[in-house]
Amino acid sequence: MSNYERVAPYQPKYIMGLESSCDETSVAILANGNEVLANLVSTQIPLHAKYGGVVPEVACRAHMEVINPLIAEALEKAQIGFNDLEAVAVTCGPGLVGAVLLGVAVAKTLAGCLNIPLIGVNHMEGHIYSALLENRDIEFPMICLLVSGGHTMLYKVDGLGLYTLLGSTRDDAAGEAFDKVSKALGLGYPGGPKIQALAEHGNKKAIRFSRPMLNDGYDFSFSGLKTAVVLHLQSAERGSDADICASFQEAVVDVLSKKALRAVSQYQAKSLALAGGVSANRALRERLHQGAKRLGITFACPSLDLCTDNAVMIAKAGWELANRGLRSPLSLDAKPNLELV
Amino acid sequence: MIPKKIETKGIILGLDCSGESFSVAICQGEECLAQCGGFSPRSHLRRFFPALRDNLEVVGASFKDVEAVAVTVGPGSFTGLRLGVVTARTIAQVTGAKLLGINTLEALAMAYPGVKSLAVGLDARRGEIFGAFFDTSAGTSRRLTEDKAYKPEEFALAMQELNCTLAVGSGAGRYAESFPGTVVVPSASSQVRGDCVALLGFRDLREGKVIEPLALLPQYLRSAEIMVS
Repeated sequence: MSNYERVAPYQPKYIMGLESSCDETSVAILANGNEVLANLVSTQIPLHAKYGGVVPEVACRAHMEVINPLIAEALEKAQIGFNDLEAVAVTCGPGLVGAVLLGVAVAKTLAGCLNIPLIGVNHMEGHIYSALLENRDIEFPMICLLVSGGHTMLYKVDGLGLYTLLGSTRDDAAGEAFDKVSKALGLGYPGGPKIQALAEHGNKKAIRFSRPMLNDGYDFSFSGLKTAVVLHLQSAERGSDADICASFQEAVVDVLSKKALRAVSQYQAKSLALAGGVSANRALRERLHQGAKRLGITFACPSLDLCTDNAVMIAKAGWELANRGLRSPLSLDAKPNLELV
Repeated sequence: MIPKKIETKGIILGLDCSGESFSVAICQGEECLAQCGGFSPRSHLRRFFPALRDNLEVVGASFKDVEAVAVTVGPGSFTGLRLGVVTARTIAQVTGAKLLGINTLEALAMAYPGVKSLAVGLDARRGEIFGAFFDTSAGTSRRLTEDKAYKPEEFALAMQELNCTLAVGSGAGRYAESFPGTVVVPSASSQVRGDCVALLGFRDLREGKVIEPLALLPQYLRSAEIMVS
């Protein structure tokens, strides 16, 4: 069943975005498609830290506690009322099924009670829009590298809504590799910020970890790299944790950036975008920024608060879908394995 | 069907998503104007809200006519309870309707009046039953025991002690062979009904047991810790 039905294009003045696909609950209000009136994010990271990863039932219970209060707070922050809303956009997948379901249930109820359009948004498309929100002069085709704890995707974007998946991970996502290496080093969860912090004091050339599938199409594989780090930890000359972190991070950044830049060249892209939680990694941002500069193309990357899951990107994607004359039926379902293309 | 014209005030919604069936009832006082639902495992999200909206339309009412929303808060399927509660909460938040949290077992007992000792047990998986006992001989469900997680053999023992004659609910149905001395209603025909939820909601409303909409949460009866791994 399709997520959309076709209607006359519309431009909701105030659109509410809802995001609850993993471990952040977020509510945002966007005016005229670009003015962020509210962006509230309630993170569950401390709740999941003791388990070393996201526990679905814990996540769902936490979403349940905060989602309605966040809506009230967002309206207050935006200084508007329920009756001012003209559309509601919500992540309908991919993600944890029980968590996505909550957001969709709330969005349907808002849409049904207020008699306004409901717009289901693919979370990945939301991330792509997070890069576009602050960079309005993007030219297509654009290569978009989307990296998070659950995903590693390389897309060619030929225009709004026109996506080609060039490659994705065959095993662990890049962010997952950060989490697992961090766990092996006893640094805790989430791994990204912890490894980045230590890496800044280390030598990225200290250990030459393999670059999995570097010259092999656009797919990624990070499971072998994680295992290489774990094996290295058991070796006699393991060196400092800082060196290990710096060398591991360098290997990940190397693979991600080389493939993304190779895609830019191959498809003669006019811009490059980086999005998803791992786009908060400074080394990765810097490497892609330099690469794009060298190639003379635009580099778009969300500001740090829009890198991780947020509802602004969902509202923005919803606004664009509205402009294309799309809305979702009230029978919209949560699709844990929803794909973009 | 010809939509029944109603006075616009005083609609009570009775909602349940706690099990493998869902139910939606549109009531006015103690009268049920429309009710629908049914067995729909893994498709509650798709069907629940459209069913609610369509039923309101059928009786010629809209969300702004809703005075109160009664919803089952547990025990039950965690995901299902969350769906019901978050929907009810959001309706209350948007429309200003009053919100009432109803015990699932009590709502199920309401559908079986005239029983001195009724066992109500929901399948809680992990080899357990979320159960309680009620006296419905006076027409309403008077609680005899508190909600509790039982092993089937413990539930059987409790049935004997309370001279129970009838057992209902998905848990009673699933472990029916453990309760030889008691009449067990099969699971498929003992699902919570929205009108029973609304009736209990109407009672709570008259007693002033209204809940602040943002505060209503499911009663899980089981810690999230157990769900790890």
